Amino acid sequence: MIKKALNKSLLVKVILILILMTYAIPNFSSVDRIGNQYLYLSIINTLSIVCLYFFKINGLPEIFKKSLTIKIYCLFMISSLISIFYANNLPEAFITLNQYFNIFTSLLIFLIVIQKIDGKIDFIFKLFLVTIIIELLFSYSPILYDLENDGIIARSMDYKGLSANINITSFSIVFKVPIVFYFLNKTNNTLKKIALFLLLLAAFFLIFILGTRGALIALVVCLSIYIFDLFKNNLVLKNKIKSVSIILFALIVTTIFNLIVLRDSSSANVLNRAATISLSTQDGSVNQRLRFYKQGLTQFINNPFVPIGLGNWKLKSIEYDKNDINGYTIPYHAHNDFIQILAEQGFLGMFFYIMIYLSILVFIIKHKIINSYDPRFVVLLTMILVFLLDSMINFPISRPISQLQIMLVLSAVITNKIDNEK
Amino acid sequence: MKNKIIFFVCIIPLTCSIYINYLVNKSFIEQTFLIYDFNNYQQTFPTNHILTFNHTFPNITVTGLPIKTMKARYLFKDKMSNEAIELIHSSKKANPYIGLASVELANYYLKNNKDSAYYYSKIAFSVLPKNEFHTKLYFKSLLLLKKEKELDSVFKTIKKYNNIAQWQFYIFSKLEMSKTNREGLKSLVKEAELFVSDVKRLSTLQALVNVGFEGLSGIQEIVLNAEKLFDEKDYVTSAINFLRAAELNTSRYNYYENAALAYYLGGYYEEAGKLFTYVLKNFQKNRNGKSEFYLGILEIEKKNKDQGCIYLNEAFKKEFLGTKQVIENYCF
Repeated sequence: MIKKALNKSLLVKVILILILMTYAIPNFSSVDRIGNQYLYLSIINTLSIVCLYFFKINGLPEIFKKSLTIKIYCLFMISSLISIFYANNLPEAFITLNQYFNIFTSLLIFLIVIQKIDGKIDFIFKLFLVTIIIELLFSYSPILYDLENDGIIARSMDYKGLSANINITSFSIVFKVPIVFYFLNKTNNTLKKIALFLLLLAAFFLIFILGTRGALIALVVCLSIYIFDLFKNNLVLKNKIKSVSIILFALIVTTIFNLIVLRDSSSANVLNRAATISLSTQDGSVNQRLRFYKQGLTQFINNPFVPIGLGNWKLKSIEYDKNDINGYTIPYHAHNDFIQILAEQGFLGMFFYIMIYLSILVFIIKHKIINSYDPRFVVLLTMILVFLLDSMINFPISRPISQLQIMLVLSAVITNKIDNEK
Repeated sequence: MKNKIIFFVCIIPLTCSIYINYLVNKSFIEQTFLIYDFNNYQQTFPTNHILTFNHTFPNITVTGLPIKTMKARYLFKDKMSNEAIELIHSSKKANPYIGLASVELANYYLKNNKDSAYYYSKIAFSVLPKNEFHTKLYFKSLLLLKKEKELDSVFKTIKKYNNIAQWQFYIFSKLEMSKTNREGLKSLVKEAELFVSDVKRLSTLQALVNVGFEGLSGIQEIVLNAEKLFDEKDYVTSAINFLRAAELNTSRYNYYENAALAYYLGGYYEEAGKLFTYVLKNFQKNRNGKSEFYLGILEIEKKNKDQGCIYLNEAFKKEFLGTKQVIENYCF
């Protein structure tokens, strides 16, 4: 009866949305919201598997058989499991393995359900578009309040919206900006174009107010790829100029508005924040990251065959950073997922992790950009590059929302690859 | 059949995963209490409630602190030292790099076993040499054992951190160890002016190295002594000293408030309540809500929730740190 009432296509969409809703789970009374988010995700993953089984929606054997990326991901999971034997703190190792397992399960569910959706990539893009609107609404609520009262405060934690901090919010917005570019370029409907332009303005303004320098670099990457792609693959010169003009106009307007609202704290405005982007060791944040990278690499070089075990960098890093720790605030992460995996799992773990993304990037560039051009894959490529940049300076591997978003992108590419091979 | 097997193979680890996430999430909720109290150098939550917290999975907080050691702090408060020590020793492996277990042990042994205090404080200091609290404990134990040479050599190694609190502990320890030769300390205070942004912060140090502890005025000496006793967790004597200071200068509400807090931490709730109420009635301006906060906690402990929440809301209005958390936990 229920089976009849529920259309399969609707069910898979509901599953997809329910998994992505992990983003909106508040922290209730938890000391870290990832506790609630992973609990919710594991429940939804299990319910989804039960639903997929009872509604006879399958495809897992085919995915495992045909996708090289999934095979590599499995090897990464095995490497994570093996590294547990080296861990000093076993509960931490199991907790981290469980988090990786939840994300991997979500990826598999995404792969199964996306196969059942018509126009899968467009549907995913629309889903991301809705997500960015919701994220912006949550961040703009306190911004508008401050604008009416004491004025906007640059890099205020109040503007973090749905995520745990402003850096995650910034990267999450930049991650989805290429989709706004794509729809803005694609649509011919004036109303939709205006709405997308306003969305772009809101996104740029938020990124500038949050002032995360890594996100500003990521935005430059997005813009560069978009403009390069436009000039390389769009034949009509008028269209090229029009598309670039809209985006440049949005950038100029938001920069001017940023300078006006932050006139009392000029050091925090977007131009001054961008001017401080450097690799100088005089910069506290850059210096700290370089120190963490060095510590992670030292750990690997000194013990190339004895990793510290999954989830144990949080502990071992204290020993390396003890001369810089004030109070009890420890490094927690290496601020580079690749280096952290190298220290925790050894070379093989890092190799498999890199290969997951490399296999996807090679497929996109070779088959979807060079051999047969599809603009949607330029968007997906940009999104992956933004994520990788985030992975190199932050720790998206520890945040379920960052992970789920990139898993959705990976699943879009993998299902397309499987479809092509049919 | 094949699908059935795949389904059951998937369901087993997924169910385990839910259970693991449930345990972690439950612990994250419990950790809000532990971390809140730890960050505020207090143990306000009832020990019997804290002891129910899971400490095996996970065994450290999100901030990397061993949960067993954090629970042991409450046992020490309730004079259950043997149980506390046992719990701490079993927590050492959870995170040996942070030294919190050694800190708690050193803190306990400072009162009754100088050598053990020295042993554990040295371990704590070696794992986090920049941590002010670890330094303070280590210097205290060196002072107790009169190990002046070691104090000097250790200070040489941490001098580079330019941490004024560490310099201060060193100067205090030196002043207590040897009443003569203050010239070297005077030049050290001058050196500190180079990296301390607000030179006013050095005025107490300057005064101390000029006159020494023996030259302090009566009230300053009493307050310093009270603070020292408070740090040593001799709360009742500390409260008495704060009250002596309050008798000499009745205009300073914080002497009464500190005395009340010391009584509270020493378990003398009635005296604490009286003093907090005295502060509330006699000093209405420029307070930060501490008295309201602790009166609120005291009332809640007496099962007088309504009155407790009224006080807590007053503390919240004055933005006293952490009040929101307590209100969320007890007043809804």
